[in-house]
Amino acid sequence: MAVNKGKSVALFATCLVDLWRPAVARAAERLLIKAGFKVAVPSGQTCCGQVNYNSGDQKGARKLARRHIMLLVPFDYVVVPSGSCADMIKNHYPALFGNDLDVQKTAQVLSGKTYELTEFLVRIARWKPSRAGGVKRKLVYHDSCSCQRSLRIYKEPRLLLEAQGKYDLQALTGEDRCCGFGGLFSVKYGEVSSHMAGKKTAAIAATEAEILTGADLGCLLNLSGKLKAEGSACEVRHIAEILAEEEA
Amino acid sequence: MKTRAETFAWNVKNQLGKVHRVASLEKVPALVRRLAEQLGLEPKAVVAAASDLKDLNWKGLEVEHRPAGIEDVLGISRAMAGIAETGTLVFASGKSNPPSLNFIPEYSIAIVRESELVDTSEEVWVILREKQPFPATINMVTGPSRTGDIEQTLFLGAHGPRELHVVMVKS
Amino acid sequence: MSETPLDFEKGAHEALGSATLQQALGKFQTGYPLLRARAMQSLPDFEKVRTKAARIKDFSLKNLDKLTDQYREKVEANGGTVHICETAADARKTVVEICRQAEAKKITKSKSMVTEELALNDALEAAGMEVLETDLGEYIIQLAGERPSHIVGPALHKTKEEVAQLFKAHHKTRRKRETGEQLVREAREVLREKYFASEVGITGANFLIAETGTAVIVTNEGNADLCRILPNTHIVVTSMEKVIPTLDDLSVFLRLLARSASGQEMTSYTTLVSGPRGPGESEGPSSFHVVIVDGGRSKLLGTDQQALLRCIKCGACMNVCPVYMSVGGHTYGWVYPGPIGAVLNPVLNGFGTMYHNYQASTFCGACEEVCPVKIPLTKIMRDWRTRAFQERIPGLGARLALWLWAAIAANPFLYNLAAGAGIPILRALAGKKGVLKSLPLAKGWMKGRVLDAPEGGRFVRGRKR
Repeated sequence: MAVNKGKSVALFATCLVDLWRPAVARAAERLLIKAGFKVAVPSGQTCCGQVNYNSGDQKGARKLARRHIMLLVPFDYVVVPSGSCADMIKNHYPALFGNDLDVQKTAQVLSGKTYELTEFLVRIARWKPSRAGGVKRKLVYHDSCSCQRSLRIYKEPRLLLEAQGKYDLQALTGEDRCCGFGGLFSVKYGEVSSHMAGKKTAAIAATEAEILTGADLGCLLNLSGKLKAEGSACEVRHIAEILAEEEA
Repeated sequence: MKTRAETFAWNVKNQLGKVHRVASLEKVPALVRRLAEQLGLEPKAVVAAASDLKDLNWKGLEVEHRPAGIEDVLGISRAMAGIAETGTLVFASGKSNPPSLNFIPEYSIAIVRESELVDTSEEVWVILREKQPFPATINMVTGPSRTGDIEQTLFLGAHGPRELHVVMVKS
Repeated sequence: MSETPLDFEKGAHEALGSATLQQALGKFQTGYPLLRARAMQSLPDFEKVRTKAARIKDFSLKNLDKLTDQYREKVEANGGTVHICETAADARKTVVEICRQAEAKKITKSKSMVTEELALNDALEAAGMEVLETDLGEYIIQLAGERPSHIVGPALHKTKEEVAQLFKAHHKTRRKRETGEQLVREAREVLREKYFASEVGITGANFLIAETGTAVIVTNEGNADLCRILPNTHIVVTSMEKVIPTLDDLSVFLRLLARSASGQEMTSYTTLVSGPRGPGESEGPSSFHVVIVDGGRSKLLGTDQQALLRCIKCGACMNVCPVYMSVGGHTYGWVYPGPIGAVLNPVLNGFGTMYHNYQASTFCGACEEVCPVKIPLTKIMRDWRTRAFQERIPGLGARLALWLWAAIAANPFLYNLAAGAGIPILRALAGKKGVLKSLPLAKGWMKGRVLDAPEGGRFVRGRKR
C-alpha cells in the first residue's frame, strides 16, 4: 500500500448515493482510507449531469459537467461508487465540449484519473479486503451495463469478493443482460422497465442467493424494488458496503 | 491439419448436407441409382447438360437434360466450384446449367470435382472474373433449403430441396 | 409539435400481456445467443473482420455516387435497367409501372424490408395486381394481415396453432395441421404453383456490387431464387446504401451476415444476379430491373450519424436488445424494430412520430457489442434525443423538469435545500417499512415495483469539515 500513501483521492459520491444511501459513500470512503489514500470529499458536488445528457438536454448537462470538472480535476484520482456516473465523467464529459477546447482538454485530464470504485481498488490501489471466515452466505453480483460494457469491468468486483472470502458467489444466468433501470427510462417506460427487472429477479431467485450486490445504486434500487414487490427476502446492498464489513 | 477436401466435406455436413465421395465421374450414375432407391424415388432425374455429365452412361435411370419442372423430384446439377471455408457449392448459370435444378426438385444432387475446390469465396471471384459475359445468375448453395419461421424450429425443404447430396469426385 | 408520437406505452402494454408473444421472445432470447456464439467459433477474429466491414461501408458511403454510377453502367451493359428513386412514392410508381408493362396479374415476392418501408404491396394491389409473399414468415403475416415483428423472422410472434388456423381459413382444404413439418410442407405445395403462374418476381437485395453490377440476395428457404428464375420479369427493390465496391468486399460481409442474423456460418442460398438471362440460357427472366430507393437516407450522408447507413439488416441488434425482448417488434410502430429501428425510423418516418423509438432505451449497449458493422447505436440514439430536445419534441413539462434539475444541481445551496425538504417527506410517506408504494411523479416506477425510501441523512452535506 506504500505506493498509495499520501496520494489524494476525490470521492465523488453521486447524487443517488448522497441522497438515497449515504452509507454507501461512507463505506467507499472507509475502503479508500484503508487502501492508504488521502480521501477528500469536495463539497459542492451534486449530480454529474447524466440525467440531462441522456435526455438530450446538452445545455443542462454541460452546466453540471463544467462545474464538476473544475471541482474534481485538482486531485490525483477521482473515485466513483457507480459505473454509470464514472462512465459519464470518463467517457462523456470530453464529448460534451467539442466546441470548447479548453474545457475539453481539462475534461480529458479528468477522464484519465477517474475510476469506478472496484476498478480503482483492484487496478490502481492493488488493495485486498481483509479475509473473513465463517459460514458463507450465497450472494449474487449484478454487473451494470456501464461497468461491463463501457468500462470493461467484470473481474474486479469478483476478485474483491473472492479475496474477502465471506460469501459464496453464485453464477447468474443472463448476467450480461440489462436490469431495466436506465435512469429516467425506469419512470418513463415503467411497465417495460419493471418487466425487464422481473427477468433479472427471476434469474436471481433461481440462484437462491440471500444477498444481491452490485456497483450501481440505480440498478440496485430497481432490483430491490422489484424483489420486494415480489415478496423476496433477498437483501440488496452496494458492493462498497459488503467490502467494508470487515474493515473497521 | 484437414485437407481442403476434408474441410469442405466437414462443412457440408455441418450445414446438414450429405456427402458422398467417389473415385471418378463414371461412378456417379450408379450412386444416383442407389440413392434414388434408398429415397424411394422413381429412377429418373433431370440432369445438368454439362458435357461431362451428358457423356456418362446413365443406364437404369431415365435422364433428361432440361430445366426442372414442377413435377421433377430429383435434380442433378454440376457445380463450378466448392468453397471449403463454408461447404458452399457455386453454380454459374449458362446454357448447360439451369438454376432451377438446384431449387425445384425435392432432392438435389450436386457434383463437384475435388480439383474444383477452393479455400475461400475470394478464390471463386478470381475464376468468375475470367468468365465473359459474367454469369447472369450465380447460386451459392450451402446445405439444403430450410426455414425457422414456425416457432423458431428448424425445418428442411422450405421451398428448395429437403435433401442436398454433394458428390465429391476424386479425379 | 407537428407529429404526434406513436403510442409506445400502449403497444408495450399489449405486448407484455401477450403470453404467446412472451413465450416466443423468451425462447428467442435464450436460443439466439447460443447459436450466434457457436457460429462465431469459426470466426475468431470477429473484431478484425467487423472493423474491416465498417471501413468498407464508410468508403462506399463516401463514394456512393461514383459506385452507384458504376453499378448502373454494369447492369445496363448486362442488359438490365436501374431506376433510382428519391422518394417512396417514386419507387412505388416505378415498380407499378414496370409491372404494368409486364402485364402482370400475379406477382411473387420474396422478403424485402425496403418494400415494407414503401408499403409496396398496397400500391400493387391498388393497381389491380395480386401480390404473394413467398418467404414462409412473410406469407404467414400476409395471411394474417399484419406487419413483420422482426426483420429476419417476420412471424416470430406467431404460434404453430395460429399458423394452422390461418392456413385452414385461407387454403380451404382439409389436411392435417398438427406439426410444424406439416405446415411447412403445406406452404411449400401451395406456393409452388404460384411461382410458375406469376409474371413478375420481386426480391430485395442485401448488397449491390459496383464492380460487376451484381445484386446479392441472401435467403435460407430458396424462395427468392424461385422468384428470380421462374417469372419473366425480375425486379430487385433495394435501398441506396447497399452498394459496395467489389466481390472481395462481399466475402467480408458474407462472413458476418449469417452469423449475426441467425447464428449460421452461411445461409443456404446466396445468389448473385447481374442481369436478365444470358445469351443461350434457357432460364431466368428476360427483363431485369433494379429499383434503388433513397427514401430519406441521403439526408444522413456526411453527417455525424452517417454510420447508421452501414447497416446490413442482420437483426443482431434486436436479437440481443432487452427492450425488444420485452415488447417485441410491433410496439416500435413502424418497419424496423429494435435498436436499428430506434435510430433509422425517425430518419425515414419523422422524429416526432417515431419519438419513443429512440427514447425507449436504457443505453445498455448490448446492440453495439454484436453489430457486425460497428454502428454506434446508443450514441446515435442519444444524438436523436438531443435533436428532439432542441426541436422541443418532448413536452414542456419534461423540458422544464430537466431545466429545473440542472438549475438546482448547479447550485449546492438550492440542492441542499431541496434535499433537506424532500428526503424527510419521502421517508414519512414510506412509513416504518421504508418502502414507497406510490409516488405522484414516479407512477411508472411503481408498476409492479416499489421504491426503497432514502435511508436518511446525507454524505456530502453531513461531513465534519
